[in-house]
Amino acid sequence: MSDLLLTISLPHFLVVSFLLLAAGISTMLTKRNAIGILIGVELVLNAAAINFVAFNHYGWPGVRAAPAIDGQMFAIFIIVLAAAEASVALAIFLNFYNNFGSIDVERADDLKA
Amino acid sequence: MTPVQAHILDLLAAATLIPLASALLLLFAGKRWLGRLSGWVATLAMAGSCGCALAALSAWQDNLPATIVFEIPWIPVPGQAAGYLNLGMLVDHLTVAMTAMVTLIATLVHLYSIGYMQGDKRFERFFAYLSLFTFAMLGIVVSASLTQLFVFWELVGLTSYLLIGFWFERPGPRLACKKAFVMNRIGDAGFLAGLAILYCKLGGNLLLPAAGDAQTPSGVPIETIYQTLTAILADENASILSPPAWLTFAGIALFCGAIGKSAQFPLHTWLPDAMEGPTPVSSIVHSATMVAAGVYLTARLLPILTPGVHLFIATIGLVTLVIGACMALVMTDIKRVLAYSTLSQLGYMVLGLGAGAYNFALLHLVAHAFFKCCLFQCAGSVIHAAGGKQDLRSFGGLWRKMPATMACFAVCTLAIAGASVMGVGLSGHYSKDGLIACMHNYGLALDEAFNPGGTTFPFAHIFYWAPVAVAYVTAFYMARAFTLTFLGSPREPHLIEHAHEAPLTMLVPQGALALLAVVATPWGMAFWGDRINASAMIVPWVQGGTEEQVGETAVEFTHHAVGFAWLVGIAGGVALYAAGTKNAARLAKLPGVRLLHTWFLNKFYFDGLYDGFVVGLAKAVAGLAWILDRAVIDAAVDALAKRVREGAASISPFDPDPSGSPINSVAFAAQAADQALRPTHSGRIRLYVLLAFGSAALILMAVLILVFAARAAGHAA
Amino acid sequence: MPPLILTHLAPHALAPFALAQLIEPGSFTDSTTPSLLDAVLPSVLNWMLFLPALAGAICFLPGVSRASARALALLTTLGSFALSLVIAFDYYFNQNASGVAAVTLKPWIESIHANYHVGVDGLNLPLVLLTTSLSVLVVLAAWRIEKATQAFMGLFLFLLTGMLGVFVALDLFLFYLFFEVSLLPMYFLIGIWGGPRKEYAAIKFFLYTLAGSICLLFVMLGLYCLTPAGTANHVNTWQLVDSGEQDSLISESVRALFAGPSTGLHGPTPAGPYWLHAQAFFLLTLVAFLIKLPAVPFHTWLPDAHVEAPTPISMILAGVLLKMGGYGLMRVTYPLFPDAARHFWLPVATLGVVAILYGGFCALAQTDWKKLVAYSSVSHMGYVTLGLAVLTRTGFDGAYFQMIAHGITSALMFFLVGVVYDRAHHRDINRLGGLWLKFPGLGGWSLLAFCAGMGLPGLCGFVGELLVIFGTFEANGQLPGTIPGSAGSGGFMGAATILGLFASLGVVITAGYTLWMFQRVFMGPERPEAAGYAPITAREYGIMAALGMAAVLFGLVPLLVFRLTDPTFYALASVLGLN
Repeated sequence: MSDLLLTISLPHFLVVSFLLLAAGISTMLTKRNAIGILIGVELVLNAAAINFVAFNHYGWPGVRAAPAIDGQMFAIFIIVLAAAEASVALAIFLNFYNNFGSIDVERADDLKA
Repeated sequence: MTPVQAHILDLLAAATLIPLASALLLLFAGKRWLGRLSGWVATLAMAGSCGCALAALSAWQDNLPATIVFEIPWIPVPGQAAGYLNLGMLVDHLTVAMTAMVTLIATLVHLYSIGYMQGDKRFERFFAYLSLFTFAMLGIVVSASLTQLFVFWELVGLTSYLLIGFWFERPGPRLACKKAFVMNRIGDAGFLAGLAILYCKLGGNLLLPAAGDAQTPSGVPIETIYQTLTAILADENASILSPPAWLTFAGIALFCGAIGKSAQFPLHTWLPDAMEGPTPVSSIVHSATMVAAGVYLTARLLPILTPGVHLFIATIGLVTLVIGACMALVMTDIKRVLAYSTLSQLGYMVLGLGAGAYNFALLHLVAHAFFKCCLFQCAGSVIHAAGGKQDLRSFGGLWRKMPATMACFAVCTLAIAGASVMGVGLSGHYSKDGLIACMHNYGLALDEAFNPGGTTFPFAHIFYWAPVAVAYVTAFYMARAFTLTFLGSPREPHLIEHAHEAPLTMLVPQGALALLAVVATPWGMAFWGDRINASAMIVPWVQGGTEEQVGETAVEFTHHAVGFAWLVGIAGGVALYAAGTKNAARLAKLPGVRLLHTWFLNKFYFDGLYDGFVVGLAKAVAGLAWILDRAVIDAAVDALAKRVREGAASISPFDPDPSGSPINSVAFAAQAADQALRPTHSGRIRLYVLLAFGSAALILMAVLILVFAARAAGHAA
Repeated sequence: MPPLILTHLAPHALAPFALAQLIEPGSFTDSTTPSLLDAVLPSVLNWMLFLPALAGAICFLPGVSRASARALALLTTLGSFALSLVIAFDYYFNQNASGVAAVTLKPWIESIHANYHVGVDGLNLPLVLLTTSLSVLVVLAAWRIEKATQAFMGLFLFLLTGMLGVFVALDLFLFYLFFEVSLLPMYFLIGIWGGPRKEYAAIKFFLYTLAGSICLLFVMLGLYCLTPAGTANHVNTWQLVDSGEQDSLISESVRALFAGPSTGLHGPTPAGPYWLHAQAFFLLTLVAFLIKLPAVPFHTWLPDAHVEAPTPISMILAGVLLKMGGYGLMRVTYPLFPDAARHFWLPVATLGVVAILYGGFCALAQTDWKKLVAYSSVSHMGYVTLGLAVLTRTGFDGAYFQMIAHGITSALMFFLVGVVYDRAHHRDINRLGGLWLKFPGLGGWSLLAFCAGMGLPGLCGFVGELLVIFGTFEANGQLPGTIPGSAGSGGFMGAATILGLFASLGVVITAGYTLWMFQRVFMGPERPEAAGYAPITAREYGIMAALGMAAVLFGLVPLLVFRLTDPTFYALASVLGLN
């Protein structure tokens, strides 16, 4: 038990990321506010980023002379992507607000078949 | 090379180019800047050109060799040693004389036109066309090679088209000009073929044969078509008297061009119709240009034409001579009488050329040019005075109103009839009688050639009896026209009341031409006399020449046969028509005469034949070709396209039939799925998120279950 | 004292043409060192070729206004014209051999040895000049097109690159590519801007030409398969010109494979290994190009395409596109398979004569003015077929000049029809009339145009016809299969002579339909509806004058063309064994 608490290993990270993922998805499912949904998306992305780094570190760390940093790279990509995505999403919300006077996503059902 | 030749070359070049310059000036600047002055500008230019030509004529010295400048490359002909078809100029006595005649008449016609075309709305353009027309004719006369001649030949055709169709608003002229051009083109197709044959056989240059030897301006001898031909025939062991077939064929083909231009049978029908043009046009077309071009060409080519071609030419001339005179007998339109008379007179010239009477034929060309031009101008004055009326039956008694015109007409009537007393006569006398004398020799020679035994062969004798008979007929129909127009009492007085003498611009040329008609031939004889030997030298097998050469017998025959033809004909004409057309109408009712009269009046049904049959045939062929195009070729293509489409449809899965096509059923399935899944497309983001993650979770679970199950199975095994 | 006017003044007076007359070709070549111009010429040629395509692409960009599209098209065509003039002047003054100039030779598709190989020689340079100069006038003629102007100009500029490419390509594969490239823009130009039956006409045009292209493609495949791989022959398969060697235009080794049997000095030579293939290939390429020319019986796309096409497109179609057919025959069919050409001369020449007469008769039957002019094109292009088929140098010269002359006159004729159509809104000859009274200037230029079409001497139509007829007569007795002499000495009345006689008869039919049409349309009293016709603008008169002057100029000084073509034709003649 103490081992489990003292030595941080892969499952710890996976648990954290799972929690983040779950929180994100439930946020996305429950929030009607667009900003809230965006926050949920960010949480999901971060969960994925943590997984990348963790799997890289514990699974394929590489040798000392040539450490493998693929997971880290992906994490950075995700961060950048998240920033871009957030800016695009915010721009959409702004327009959305201009058109509907609110940012309630339930109002956006123009694409309904 | 003597300075004289250079001088003459310069003068003739100037004489040729001045009308072109004036035509271009009038064409582009006439309307805007010159206006009514155009007429005088053109006339003065023509007079300048005439001055040059006359100066060249007076500078011409006997026994000058023919001079040829031929150094402007035009079209390359890589197949021949010559390398290029060149452009250039040929000067010999014929050129000099023709240039003088053409420019002289053209000047007078220009002058006449100023009065005649007064008030026409396209006054300037008329003079531009007229000058261009003259330029084209001069181009023919000075051309050094046959190919170059063809260029101007066609230009004459085009400008005559413009002039005859000058009043193109009216139906008559626009049909007539088309007819003239098409008829000419028919002849030109032959010309082109003949040209091609000569080109292939004689090399590219085709320098026209000149009298005697020709040389360049620097004195180097130059080989004309005649010398080339002689050399080639010598190589082939042939001579012009026993020629190869191609030479005869080429000669006939080339003469086809002359048939078209000089309105010989069977392409003669355009000439009378060309009357639809303004009268000055008729007067120049019928005298110095156009119709003269064919005669000129034939005369030029005479040395290289084989005896077979000569016979062909003579026969064509003979037919034209007779039918022209017959039709002139019965026409009631004054201009048409003159037109058919032109046909007949051209027949004389062509007949004479065919018979080898080179000098007399050309003499007749010059003489005829002057008196026929004058006759047309008089006719124009009469029509002008009669307010556009052209019917002989409406005239009569005009001598009181138009004495000067009558005098001119009378002089020319005498000239064309060949009047003479005691061997001194008007121009027609010398040329026509000389021609007939030559024909006599030719007929006898033919008889000899076809009938070595000595029995008579009537066909050969027609060649001199027909011209003799036509000499009488000519005097008769001219007297008829003269009498009906000027003598007797007015048949339609109201017409005559307003008649008046023509203005001075029209009278002066008329008078001048009448004067020339009197003196032209004696003067021409004087000019010509010494050169006859030159032409006889290059045409060794033809008879003709001076009276001495023609021979005592022929001259005697001519004196007896036609010595008083003019008197008999004129007396007959005046007697029959002095009291109007009544007597003649009675005569025309006689059984035999009636048939002929109908034939003549209907112009031997040539027009009907051509319009109905030839044109109809062409139209039918055109229609057939068109139907073939649409109904056969195009229909086949369309049917093929349709068949391909049908075939493609029947074998392809892209069947237009909606049931049973596999591709379509895929589409239908997709459509059905779309209908089924449509509700999930709610537009609600949260639903999407749920679906996405839910299904991801489900898939993940399924995968895990499968993996564990497989593992469990593995352990079990 | 030499004659003044004639020997001194006349040549000068006859010549703004002084260039052609007085300066011999190659007179400025002084040394072996290439000039600066020589070095940049290939790029000049490439710019001339692709500038229009570039500008065409710009026309399709959003935001390009109608006015700027027009201006761009005009500037581009002018630029292309200027560049082609540069090339022409350099070729004229600096080339004294038959070799090609301004060559770019770059590997392109290496796996099949196709090269990007372009250049000019005497065979294509006049056609390039015709294309670039005509395109300027076509843009001007299309100035008033309001429907999707940008797209029109863009497509036209693409078409221009395609046409120029066909002419300058020296690699068969590249040639084929451009041949196809020129097809599509034309399809759209007829199909979008055309008349009431434009779809039918466009698809007909497209399919006809495509059928020809397939024949060509088939021959290309055959050539490639028959030339043994890995040898020099194989490498040379597509090469239309041996650059560098002056006396041999065509890849000799390829040609030798397809040679026919011959009787040489040292006894009969057997046929090459692929003699039968050569005959088939000759016929296939012949069909490919005869469709484009067009020759009877492959011509029925032409009247439809012309009737439906807008005026500027008719101009370029008759003026340049048809010439691609004749050029293809001269560049591909005849030089590649000369022995087969000799073998089949009689049927091909007969096709030419049939086209002359048949096209003329069909024109005679028309009441639609534009269709009449279209059929007259069929008739005129018959002279091209005939001139080539008889295999004489004169005939070859004539056929080539006929193409240039027809490019000028037919473009002018179609433009005139368009000018009248813009005002009358119909082309029925029977319902027109009196236009000469209404528009004297139009009447004058039309007369000039139709006279040139009729082949009146002094105008450009004459030279080609004359040389073709001369060449046909010349061929008599020099080709296999000539009927032995049936009339007197020398086998005079041979097949060639008979064909020549029929070809001469063509001038009568031409005169018939031309004069009939001219009488109906231009003569006669002015019609009442003509009162409302808009006056003819300076732009329209400018186009008429440019083409009309060209018709006169080339008629008087055909040497302007022949000086360019002579050296190449001389070499070509030795390759083809022309008489």
